[in-house]
Amino acid sequence: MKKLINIKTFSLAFLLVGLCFTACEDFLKEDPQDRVAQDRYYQTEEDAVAAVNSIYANLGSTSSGPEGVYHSTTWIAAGLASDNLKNMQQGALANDQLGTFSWNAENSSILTIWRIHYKTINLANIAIERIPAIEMDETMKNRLVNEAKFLRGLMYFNLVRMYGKIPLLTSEASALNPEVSEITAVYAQIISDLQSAEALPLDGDIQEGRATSGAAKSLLAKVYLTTGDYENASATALEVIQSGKYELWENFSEVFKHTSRNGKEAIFSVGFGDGGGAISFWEFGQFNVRLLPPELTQARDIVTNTHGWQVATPELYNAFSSDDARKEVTFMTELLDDEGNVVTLSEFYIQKYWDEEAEPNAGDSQQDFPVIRYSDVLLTYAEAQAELGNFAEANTYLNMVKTRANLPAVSINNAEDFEAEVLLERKKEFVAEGHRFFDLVRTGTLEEKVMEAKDIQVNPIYYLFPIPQRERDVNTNLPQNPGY
Amino acid sequence: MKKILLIGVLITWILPQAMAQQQVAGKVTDASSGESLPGVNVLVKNSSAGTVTDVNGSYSISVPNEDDILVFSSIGYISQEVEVNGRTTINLALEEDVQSLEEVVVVGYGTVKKSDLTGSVASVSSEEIKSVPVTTFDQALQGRAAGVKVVQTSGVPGGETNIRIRGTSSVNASSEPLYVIDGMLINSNGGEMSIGGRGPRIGALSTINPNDIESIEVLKDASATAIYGSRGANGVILITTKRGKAGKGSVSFESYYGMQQVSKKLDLLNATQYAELVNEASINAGVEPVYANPQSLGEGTDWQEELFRQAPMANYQLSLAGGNEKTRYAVSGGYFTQDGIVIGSDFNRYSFRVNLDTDVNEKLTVGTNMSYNRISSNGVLTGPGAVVQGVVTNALQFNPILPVYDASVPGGYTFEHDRKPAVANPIAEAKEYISITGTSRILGNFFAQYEILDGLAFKSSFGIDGLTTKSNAFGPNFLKRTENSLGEASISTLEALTWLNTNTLTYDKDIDPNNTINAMVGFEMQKFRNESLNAYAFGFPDSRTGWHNIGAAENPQSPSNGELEWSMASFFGRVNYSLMDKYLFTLTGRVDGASKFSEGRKYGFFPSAAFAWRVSDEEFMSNVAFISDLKFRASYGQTGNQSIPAYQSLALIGPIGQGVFSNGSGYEAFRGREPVSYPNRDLKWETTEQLNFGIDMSVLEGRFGLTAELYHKNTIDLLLNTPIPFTTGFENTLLNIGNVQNRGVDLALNSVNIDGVLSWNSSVNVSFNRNKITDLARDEDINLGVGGNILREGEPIGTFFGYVFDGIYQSDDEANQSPMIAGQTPSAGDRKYKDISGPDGTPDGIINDFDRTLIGSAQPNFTWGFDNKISYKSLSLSFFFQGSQGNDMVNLNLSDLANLNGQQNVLSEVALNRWTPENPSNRYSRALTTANDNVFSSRFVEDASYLRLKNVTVSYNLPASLLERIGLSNLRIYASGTNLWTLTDYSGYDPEGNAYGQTTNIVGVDFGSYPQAKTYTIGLNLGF
Repeated sequence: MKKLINIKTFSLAFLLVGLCFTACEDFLKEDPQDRVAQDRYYQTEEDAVAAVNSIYANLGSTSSGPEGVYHSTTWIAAGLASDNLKNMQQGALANDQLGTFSWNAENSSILTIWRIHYKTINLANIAIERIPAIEMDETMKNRLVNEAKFLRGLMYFNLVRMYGKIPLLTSEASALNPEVSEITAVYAQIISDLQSAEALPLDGDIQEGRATSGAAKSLLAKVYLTTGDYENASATALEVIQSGKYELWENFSEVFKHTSRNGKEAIFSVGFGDGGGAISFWEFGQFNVRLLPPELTQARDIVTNTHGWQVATPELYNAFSSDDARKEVTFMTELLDDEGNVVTLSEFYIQKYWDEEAEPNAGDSQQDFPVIRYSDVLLTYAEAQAELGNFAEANTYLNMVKTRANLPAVSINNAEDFEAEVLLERKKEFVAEGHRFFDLVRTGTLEEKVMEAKDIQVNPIYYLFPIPQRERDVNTNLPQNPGY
Repeated sequence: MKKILLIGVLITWILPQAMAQQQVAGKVTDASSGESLPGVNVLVKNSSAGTVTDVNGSYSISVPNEDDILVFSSIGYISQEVEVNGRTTINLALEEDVQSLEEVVVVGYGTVKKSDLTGSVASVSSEEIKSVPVTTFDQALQGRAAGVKVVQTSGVPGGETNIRIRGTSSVNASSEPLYVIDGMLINSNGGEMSIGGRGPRIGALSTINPNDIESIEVLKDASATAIYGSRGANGVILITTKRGKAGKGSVSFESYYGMQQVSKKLDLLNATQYAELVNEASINAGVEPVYANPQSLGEGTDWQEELFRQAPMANYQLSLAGGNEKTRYAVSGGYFTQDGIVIGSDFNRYSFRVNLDTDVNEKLTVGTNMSYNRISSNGVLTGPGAVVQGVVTNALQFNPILPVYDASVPGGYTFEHDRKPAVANPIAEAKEYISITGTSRILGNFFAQYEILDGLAFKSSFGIDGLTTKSNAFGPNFLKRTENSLGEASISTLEALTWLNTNTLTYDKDIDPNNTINAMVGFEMQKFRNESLNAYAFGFPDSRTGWHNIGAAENPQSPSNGELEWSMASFFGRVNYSLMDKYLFTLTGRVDGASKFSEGRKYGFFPSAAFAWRVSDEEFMSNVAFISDLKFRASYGQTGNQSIPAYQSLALIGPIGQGVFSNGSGYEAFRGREPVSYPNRDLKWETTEQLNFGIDMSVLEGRFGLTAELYHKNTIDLLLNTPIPFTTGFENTLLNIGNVQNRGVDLALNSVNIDGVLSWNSSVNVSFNRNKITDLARDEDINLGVGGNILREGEPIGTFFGYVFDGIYQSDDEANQSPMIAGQTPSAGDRKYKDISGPDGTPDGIINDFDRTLIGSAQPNFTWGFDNKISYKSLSLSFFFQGSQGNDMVNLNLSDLANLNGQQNVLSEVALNRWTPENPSNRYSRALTTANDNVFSSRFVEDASYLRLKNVTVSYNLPASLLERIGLSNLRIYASGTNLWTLTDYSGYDPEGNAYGQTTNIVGVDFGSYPQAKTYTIGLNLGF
C-alpha cells in the first residue's frame, strides 16, 4: 500500500513536470491583446497593403524617424556635393561640409541618409518575406511584393552609389551587426529586384504614385547605364519609350504644375502634403521652404516659410543660354512684392518646384518629388546608344529634350563630345532633382566640374561617402571607405 | 473496503467501552523548569485512544489493559513511552528536545538549522522590526543587516524605499530584491502594482502589516538565492508571518500613539530680507529697485510653517495565537493611521490575518495563510512634479512677502509667486488638490503536506495575491496646476492578480550518525496579470462635484487602459549533505522559464554550490575552550535578473507611416503599419555570478559573535538599452550587453557586554560595497539627464558629472581675464569655473563641455547600524544608531535656493553672505536679476554622510507578581523617539532619500522631496 502511494506521488510529480514541458511553451508565450505583435499581423490582404504603404510612407515624410528618403536630405546632398548647389543655411555644418567637399564620417546628413534608407529597406524586406504567406488574391499579392522589390531596388541603388560596399540585407531576420557585401553583389540584387518589378502593372493600371512596370524598367535602365551595361541600358530604356505610356510635356514650364503631378512625364514620384488634412503630421514638401528666397516671405503677405537655404552656383545659372526655356522656369533672380515693386535678389534661387497659382503661399508645398522623369529615360537611352556607337539614334533622343527646351538640335558623332553634351543637358534638365552627384561620379568628372563651378580641388576620396562613424562605432564589422 | 473500515472504527470505539477498563491519571511537567506542561499528547500505544493534558498539565485516560504502554509527546520535547504496569497515577517530566530547539533559519522552500547553514543569510527579528514605528516593513530593515542598504526615498507616508542587497547590479532592469512572504513570491514592482496616474505613488509593500511579521531573512549569496534562479540576483527577502503554536492560547493587544514633526526646516529669507535681496539684484542689473521700503514688510509668510504640521500617528493590533496538537492558529486584526507632516497627506491601513495549520492525520498537514489589507491615503504632490513643481519646492521658493490667502481672487488663495509665476501656492495645491488612493490586497495561500515515507514529504501550495487600487483626483479650476486645464479630474484603477503554485518533494534522512542528507526538488508556476483604466477630464467650471462626476467636464480627454501579463515556470532542487556534522555541502539549481524573453531564450539555468566547515567541532579545537563556535563558508553560483517590462522581445506593429499619392486633380492619402521596435530575438536574463567567503565565530559561550563575509558579484549580459546599427531600421533596443561589478565586505558583531540583573547587549553591522560598471559596450558616457548622473565605464552607478565650481570673481579684471562660459560675460561677484581641458586635451580658455568632469558619487564607503539594549530588572533602554559614510548627494534644490536672481526665495546662508564689494565672499555669488549662470557644477554636490540616532526606546515590563494579580501574562509600556538626531554636513532637509527613487540608475538626487519626520511615540503591549 505504501509503495503504491510512493509510485503514485512520484508519477504525479513526473506528470506535472512532463505536462509543463508540453504545456509550458504555451504558458510562457507572450500574446498581448492590447497591442499588435508582429505574430498577429501580416495575416490579411489589408495588412499586406498597409505593410507596403509603410514603405512608401518612408519616402516622403515620417513621424517615427528621420525625414523620409526624398524629403530633403538626400536630394540636397546630391546637389551640394556637385557643381549644382551651394549652401546658405546658417549653422548647418553638415550641409556646409557637403557643399565644400570637406565632409567626414561624423557628417549628420550622411548618417541620416544611411539611416532612412535602411529603415525603408527593412520595411521592404518584411513585405517581401511576409506577404507571400498571406492568403489573399494572388495577383494582388504578386503586385505588392513587386512594389516592395522596386522600392528596395531603388534604395540599394541610392546606397551603393553613395557608400560603395554596404551591408546587403534582404531578410528581416538579418544579423544585428552585418558585414558589407561587394558592390557587384549589391548590383546583382538590385537588378534581380527590378527585374521582378518589371511584372508590375503599366502606368494607368494602378493607383497613381505606386511603382509601375515603367518605373521598374526606367530605374533598371539607369542601373545598367551606371554599371556600364549599355546594351541592356539601351534595350530597357527603349521598352519604356515604346510602351507608349510616357511623353514629354510640350513646355518645360508644365512639368512642375500641380496638374501635371503623376502625369505623362512622371515615371515615379513621391507625394507630399497633408492630403487636405487627411494626414496628421506636419510635413509638406521642402522644395520651396529650402529653395525659394527669404525675400519672398518678406515681400509678400501670403507667402510663408521660404528660407533659400540652398541656391544655385553662378556657374550653373550661366550654363543656361538665354534661349533655354528652362532658365526662366528654373531660376528666380528677382521678384515682385505686394506693391508691385521689383526686388532684385543677390543669389540664384531655384523656383521650378513652385506652382504659384496652385500654391500662392509657397511654403506649404504639396508638390511631388520627381524621382524619375521621362526626360531621364530619354537621356539614358541617348547616352547608352552613343556608348554603343549609334550616334544617329543618340542624337535623336538627346534632341527631343533639347528641342522641348527651345534649344537647337545637335548632331554629335564622337563619343567624348556626346558624353559631355548629355552631361551638360542633364545638369540643366535636372537642377535640384538629386541626380548631379551621381552623374558626376558616374562619368568621373567630379573634380573637373566642381573646380569649374566652385573653385574647389576635390579629393578623389569624395567619390564615395564615408560609412557613418556612429554606425561603425556600433557595428564594428563595417570597414571604412578609403581615405576617411 | 468501506465496510471493513467502518467495522474497524466501530470495534475500536465500542470494544474498549465494553471491556473492563483501568483509569490512569497524572501530571506532566517540564524536566528542567518543573512547570506543568499543557497540550501534551497522551496516547495508548497501538490504539486510537488518547487525550491531551489540560492547562495544569493534568490528564486522565482509560487504559484497556494493565500492560499497555502510554506514549507522551509534545512538540519541542523528546517523546517518552511508559508502561502502565497496573499503576493508576503516572507523573512524568519531559525533557526538552535540544536538537529541535536549536535556532532554525528560513531559507528558500524550507528551513535549515542555523549551524548547518552554508550560505549567507541575515536574520531580522520581529522585535527589531517593531522597535521603530514604521509604515512599511521595508523601512524597518534599515541598519539591521549587513549588506542591506535601505534608503527611504522620501517621507511620504507609505512611500517607497530603495533596497540594495550587496550593491546595484543592474542599470536598466530593477535592482530591488525579490520578496517572498510565507512562500508567496511577491511582485513589488511599483510600475506593475500601482497606478501610474496623477497622484503620488504608494509602495507596493505598504499593503503588508509589519506587526504580523515573525521574522525576516535576507538571502545574500548565490548559495542562498540560486533557488530563486532568475529572480535571485538582487538578493531575496523572506518574510515569515506569525503562526500559532500548540499550547495555551495567547491574546495580545499592542498599541502606540505618536506625534511627528518635520525633522528640520531650512533657514530662508523673511519678507524684509527678500525685498532687500530683490532690490540689490535689480540695482546690480541696472534697473530700479522693486520694493520701496523693505523694512515695512516685516517677517511676512513662513511658507514652511504653513506647509508642515504636527501630525499624529497611531497603531492598534489585536492578535490571538494558540492551538492544540492537531490545529494551530494565529489571528490578528490591526489598524494603523498616520497623518503626514505635509498638510493634506495621510495614510490609513486596516489589516486582517489568519494563519491556520491542522494535522489531518499523522501524515497529512494542511494549512492556510490569509491576509487582507486595506489602505486609504490622501496624497500631495512632492518631488520634481510634472505640470507644476511639488509643494515642498514651491513652499521653499514662494515669495515670503505674499500672504497665503487672497480673498479677492477665485478660490481665495494667492495664485502664484508674483516674481516667478511658475511657482504655485503650495498651500492651495496641498489642500485643494485632492488625490485619494484606496488599495485592497488579498494575499492567501493554501498548502497541504503529506509524509509519504519517514523523511520523505510532498508539499503543494496554491496562492493568490490580488490587488485592487483606485485613485481619484481632482484639482479645482482656481489652482496654478489647473491654469490650462481649467479644473481637472481623474479616476484610475488597477487590478493585479498573481497566482502561484509550488510543489516540492523533500527528503530528510540521517543515513547514519555521520551522514545526513536533506534533498528537495520542486516545480513552480506563476502568472501575473494586471489591467488598468484611466479616465480623466479637463474643464470644471463648477468644482462642487469634483471627481465624483467626471462627466460634468467641458473638455473630456480620451480614456486609456492597459494590461500586462507575464508568467514563469520553474524547476528547482537542492541537496544538503552533512558529513560528520562538520563538513557541510549544498548544491542548488533552478531552471526558470519566463515569458518576457525571446522564443528559444526563455529558459535559464542557475546553479550554485557551497561548502562549510565547522572548525569548532574538530578534535583539535576541543582544547580551545574560549571558541564556542567557528565555521568557514564558501559559495559560488549564478543567479539572474529578469525584472524588465513584459513584451520587450516582441516586435509590435504600430499604425505609423502615412502619405499621399497625388495626381493632376488631387491626392489620396494612404496609411501604413510597421514595427515600432526592434524585435530582439536573443533577449535573455542578466546573469550575476557571485563568490562568497564567510566566517561565523562565537566566543566565550556566545558572549561575542561575529559574522564576516567577503563577496564578489559580477553581473554580465546586462539588460541595457543600447544603440544598435541603423541597418536594423531602429536606433536602440534592449540588449544583453555590459557588465557591472559589486565587491564588498559584510560585518556583523553581537556582544553581551554585561550579563546579569543589569544586562547590556550590542550589535553592530557594517556594509562595504564597491560598485563599478565594468563594461558599458560603448566609449561615451550615458548621460541620464538628471542631477548630473552619468553612467561611465569604470565608474560606479550614481556618478555625478559637471563643471568644477572655483569660487567667485573678486574683481571685474579677474573675471575678464579668466576663462568664461561661452556666451557669458561675468563680472566681479559672479561664479568662476575651472578650465580643465579643451578639444586638444589642454585648457583652452573657454568653459565648455570639455571642462566637465567627475564631481562626486552617490555610493557610500560604508553603511552601518549600531543597536544597544540595556535592561535592569523590568526596565529596559534601547538605542539604535544608523548611518552612511562617504556618499555625496546632488542638492538640486540649490539650483533655485542658491540663485540670487531675486525671483524665488533663497537660503539665508547664501543670501546674507552673498558677494558684495564689502563682503568679498568666495562661495556665494552676487545678487543679480539677470544672472544666467546656473550650470550644473560641483557646488550642487554635497557630502551626504550621516550619523543618525534612529531610535531610542525606554520600556517597562510589569513584574510577573503584579501581572498575576491583574490577570495578565504580560504588560509593557514604552516611550520612544525616532529620527531624533542627525549629524551631517548636508544642507538640505535630509541626507537620505532620492527624488528619482523609482529608477535604478539615477541615485542621490534631492529635489523637493517629502521630508522625513521626527517622531515621538508612547506605546502599550498587553498579553492575556
